[in-house]
Amino acid sequence: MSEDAVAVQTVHVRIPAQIRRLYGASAQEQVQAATVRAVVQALDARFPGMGERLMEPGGHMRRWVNIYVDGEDIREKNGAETMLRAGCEVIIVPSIAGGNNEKNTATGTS
Amino acid sequence: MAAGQQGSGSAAPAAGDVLVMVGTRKGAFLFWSDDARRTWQRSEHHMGWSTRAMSYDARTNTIYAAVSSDVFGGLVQRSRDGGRTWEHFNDGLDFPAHEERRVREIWQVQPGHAQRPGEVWAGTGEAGLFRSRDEGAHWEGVAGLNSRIATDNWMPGGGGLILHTILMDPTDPNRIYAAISAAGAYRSDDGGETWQPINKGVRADFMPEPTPETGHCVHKMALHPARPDVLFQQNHMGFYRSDDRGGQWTDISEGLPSRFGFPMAIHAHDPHTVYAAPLVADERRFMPEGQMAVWRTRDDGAHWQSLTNGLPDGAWLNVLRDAMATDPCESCGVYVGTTGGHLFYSRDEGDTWQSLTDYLPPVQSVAVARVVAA
Repeated sequence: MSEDAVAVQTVHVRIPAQIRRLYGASAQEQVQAATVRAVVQALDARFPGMGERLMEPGGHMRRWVNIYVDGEDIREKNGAETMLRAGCEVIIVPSIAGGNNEKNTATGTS
Repeated sequence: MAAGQQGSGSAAPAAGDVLVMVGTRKGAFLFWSDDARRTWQRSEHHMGWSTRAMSYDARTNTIYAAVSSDVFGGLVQRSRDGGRTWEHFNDGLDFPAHEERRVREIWQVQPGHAQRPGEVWAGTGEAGLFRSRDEGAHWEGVAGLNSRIATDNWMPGGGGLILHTILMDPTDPNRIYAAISAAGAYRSDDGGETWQPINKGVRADFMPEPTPETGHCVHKMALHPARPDVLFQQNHMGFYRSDDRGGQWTDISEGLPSRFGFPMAIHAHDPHTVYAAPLVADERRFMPEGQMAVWRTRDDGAHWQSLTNGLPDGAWLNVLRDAMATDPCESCGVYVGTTGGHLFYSRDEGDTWQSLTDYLPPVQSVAVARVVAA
């Protein structure tokens, strides 16, 4: 299937705090994209430079950037070419993650 | 890509202040004071980002910071208002897409020659030299040096294969030096078009052939603007001086407690006075016998003196390659940051020391400048 024929839909993207602060992005952005690669391109168009934080110039995802689509690691799927469904959730998780600056919540840990 | 902007508070240094720029494993810190250097103000920046180096460009009253993330790669941060706001750039600051090598960390950002307005240089890991002609907004690889990676005898040191030192000859805008670990020192006499290795006389005992043309583990190199033909070098294998722009090096390690160390700095007003911070080699990498000490020569390395007055004992500290600097005050100040998060300084050329601050993240770099404008 050619790129042109892929349905482009709205997906929800969770942005990690470290680059959210750098680009003034929200915790969750909504973009129009048919693949994970297109998500990165859409984010880069909205926040110039963000694409290179996630993907190297050769087009590979950065080694320690993990992306989950509806809870599934794209490495277990089709990598950057993983197809997206309308309304799906794309979560960007840096490998060196952990800790929580927010106040405890009912689901948080003390 | 284009810049982003982040604010970071209203406090900022004023014209004439002494500005100490400290890069740490987890962010950057600015400290500033008048020439008395008794009361310091501070501000924090780029928290969470490893800051390998900072510099001040007096041509444009600009602070540069080389920041990187293990996850998200490297950026050059630029502030034109003393750190109140920052813009970040990395357009072109990587190897061509078809190459396997990638820039994962920025190790150095240095203003270019006074006669080359707009020119700024960056050193990276994996090792590369990049040049900007528009004050850091866009970058291009310096092919004449970067292409030598494929042919010269380069291999990673403890910090990876990194280009960590860039020096400008103030008397000749075409003469540039670069130092790479573990490849050695290089010089260009034509503005960066061609480069020659300058490592004769420097030991490389870890190599099969102990005196190769390249492959040397230079840790830091410096020159004094009043005597730019003389270079000093702290190497993995000793402390060296060259009197002919790197053509030949002389071992000046005798008198130091160890040949090994990372940083070095030259006195602001006396090109014969140089500071070192020797460490126990090789895997220990802390101050000999746990005594924090800076060593000083006043005669180009013929004799060395240990400076410990005010520095702690029982201090198993490491000082990294960019973590020592001198200031331009009449009584030259010396600044040393440790991996324990201490920042020590002397207001009297190293004779006595005190703490400027404690409890920072591990200090990776210290740079000092006089602010020319507010």
